[in-house]
Amino acid sequence: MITLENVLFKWHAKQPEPTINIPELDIDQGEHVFLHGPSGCGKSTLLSLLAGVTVPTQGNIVLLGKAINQLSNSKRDRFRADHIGYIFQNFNLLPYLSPIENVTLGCQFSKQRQNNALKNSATIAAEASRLLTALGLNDALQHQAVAQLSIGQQQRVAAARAFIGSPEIIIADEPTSALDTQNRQAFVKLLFEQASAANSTLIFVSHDETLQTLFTRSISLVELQGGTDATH
Amino acid sequence: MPFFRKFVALVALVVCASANAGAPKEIFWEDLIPKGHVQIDTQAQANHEGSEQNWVQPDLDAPVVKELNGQSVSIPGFVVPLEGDSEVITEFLLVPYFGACIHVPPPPPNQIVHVTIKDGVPIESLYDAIVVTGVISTETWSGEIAQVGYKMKAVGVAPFEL
Amino acid sequence: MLLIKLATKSLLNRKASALLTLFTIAISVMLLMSIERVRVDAKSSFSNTISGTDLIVGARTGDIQLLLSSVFRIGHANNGVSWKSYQFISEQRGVKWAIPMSLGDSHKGLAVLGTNKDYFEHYRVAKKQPLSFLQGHEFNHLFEVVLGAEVANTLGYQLGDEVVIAHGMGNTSFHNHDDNPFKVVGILKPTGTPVDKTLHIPLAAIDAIHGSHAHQHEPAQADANDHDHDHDHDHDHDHDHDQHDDVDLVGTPKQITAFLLGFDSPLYTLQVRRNINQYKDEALLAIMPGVTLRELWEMLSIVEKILLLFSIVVVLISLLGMLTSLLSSLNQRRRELAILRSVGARPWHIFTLISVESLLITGLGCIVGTALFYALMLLGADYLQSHAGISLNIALLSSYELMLLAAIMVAGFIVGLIPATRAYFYSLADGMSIKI
Repeated sequence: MITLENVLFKWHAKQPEPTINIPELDIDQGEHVFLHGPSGCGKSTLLSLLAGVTVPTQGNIVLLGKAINQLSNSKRDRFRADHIGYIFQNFNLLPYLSPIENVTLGCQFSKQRQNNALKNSATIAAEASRLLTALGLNDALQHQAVAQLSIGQQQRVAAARAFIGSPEIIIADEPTSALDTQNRQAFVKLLFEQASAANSTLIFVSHDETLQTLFTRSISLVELQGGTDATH
Repeated sequence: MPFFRKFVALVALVVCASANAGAPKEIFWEDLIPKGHVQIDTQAQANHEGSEQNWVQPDLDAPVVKELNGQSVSIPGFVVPLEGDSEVITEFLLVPYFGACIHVPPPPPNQIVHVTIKDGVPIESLYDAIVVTGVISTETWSGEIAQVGYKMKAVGVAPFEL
Repeated sequence: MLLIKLATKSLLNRKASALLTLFTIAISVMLLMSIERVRVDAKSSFSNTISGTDLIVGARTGDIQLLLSSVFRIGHANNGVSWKSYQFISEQRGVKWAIPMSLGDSHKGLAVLGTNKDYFEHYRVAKKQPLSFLQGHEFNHLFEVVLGAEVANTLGYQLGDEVVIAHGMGNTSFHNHDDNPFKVVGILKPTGTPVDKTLHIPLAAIDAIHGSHAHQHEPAQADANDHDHDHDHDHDHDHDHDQHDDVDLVGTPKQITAFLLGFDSPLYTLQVRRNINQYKDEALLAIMPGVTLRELWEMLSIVEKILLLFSIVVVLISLLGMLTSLLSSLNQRRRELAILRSVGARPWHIFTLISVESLLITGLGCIVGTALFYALMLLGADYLQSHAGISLNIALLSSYELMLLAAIMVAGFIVGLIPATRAYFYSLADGMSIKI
């Protein structure tokens, strides 16, 4: 359900080498994909393209049957709100909202996700609470000031926000880099649980090879772009 | 039939008359002096009054044009404010020339109109001439001797355009 | 609405700087509204002070000085009008009533006015309102005094009290006429004019307290000529006029400070004014109160405009302060904007969010500022009344003031557009990857 065809991206026209050059990429629904590559190879740019924040200079990015690069700006934003959940590497949360409010934010810009969330719980706040509990945060933590949560707890709140309303695509941009090793695997397992529950596609970007083994599919960004990945 | 024609003629006459009566008549200061009356220069009058040389009696013999009583007129002039508040003037004297001047004798009473305007009118500058529209009346009031003068209930004030 | 809730919480998170900005705006709003209210009330207080008087006559000083000293009790007339001139002029044709006034004395810093009973009948304040009594009645005997409302309030005098009146304007006096105390026989209703802070005594009493220190006896036989030259047609006699014919309340002073004239018709006014200004026997000045008040305001209008300009500048400065704080906060909020973009907020959502923040700060600033304004008015009203004769109207906001507030809100909104636009373009450019 994610297809890239001849996607080329340059930040400006005069750029000698394109930042992204992917002839083909296919990902099916429900897959859990480990995407890796050395820093500077264009991971963030690719994620930006996948999330519809930037538009490729050439080529098509087809998500859920829609070529999002052909959508207008506001339609792309709406598409992202409806179908994509995003987890940053760090500083995921708005400091002035509680954990529950941070999570509900994930479906407050999309009617579709809001309705999905309400299928599981009576209110979106209740749904947020349910997800947070599933991700290991107890009730007390759910209402605590965000600044007082540990990094691991903050990342799990971010995950809950990405999952609320069951978006079809979850993009996680190095979400475990700030966590200590023993928590990383646990976090990935939590992501798998939630993704499977909604049959969402998970794209997990990281350069932590210890996690690679957990994934059924692993894609090297360098190879994808037609190069050889020296680290592989 | 003849009666009907007379009736129509009468109605037409009345309509015409009232239409004319409706529009304010434009008058000027000369119109306030009865024809044939010679205005006495108040300054010259003072020289005639011996012991009262010190005091120029207001020219109370200045007669008014009684026909103007009750007519709707508009007349241009300058404002000398009497009553009002910080926003509007509700009562003023309308005079033929800039009234604050103390170098020339003031106009005689039949060349001044005592104007009242119900809700008051904001008048920015007393240096500019205005046109006042309203119903003018010739009033007599009894005092030591009988006195007459012009009063006006104004309905509108507009700047005077040359 | 979601964006309003986000804007509110976001501001609460930056409490310190938001509160600071808010108070800056509040204080500037308070300043602007106070200045405008005082200006408007001062103007109407002043123009409401005298009404229905055709001419004020005094020594030939200056128009505005005569107005200020005679009606507002501000400044002193340094010369007077001879009694002879007063009598001559008040007997002239066309004069309906004449009220002599003698100023210069004081009681505990408040002005003392010597006049006759016609003052209570013919003196009018705003829109031809006559003076009316809260308690008691006008003076009928030599050593009786009628108090203005403020005098009674401030000094706590009541009907029947005895008051000592001294010579000179200040609080201290060296001639304290303890042997001639005055009895309070009347207290006037408040008028919002200098009448309120004046003590009114019979004209003859002024001479009496300056004369020998022996007790003065009221002359048993009155000179009824006082009233001859009044035109009777509208003259209401007060209920105890049988009695007042017996007492000469006016006396024969050599000099008075000024007098007020009313004519049978305002048509006389211009002629009589000229006569008085050219009077050969004495250097006199006659002014038309309405005209001279306007001259006073023209003089002050420059000051008015400058004050208004300054207070507008202060408001603008405070709004610029808000601009600075919002713009500088934007830098630290780029991550926040990226997060919002990632959950699907469009750039115009971001724009609206920042705009709402600026509106919230401005709006709350206006509300707090208005509250401060009322507090200031309540505190300052007494001072302004007693020291400058300005009566403040502590009423609800006038439509003009509401318009001022609306203008400030609009200005705040426009100023807020700048950081909102910048945030908009940040969110477009940064997308979700920001370089912190």
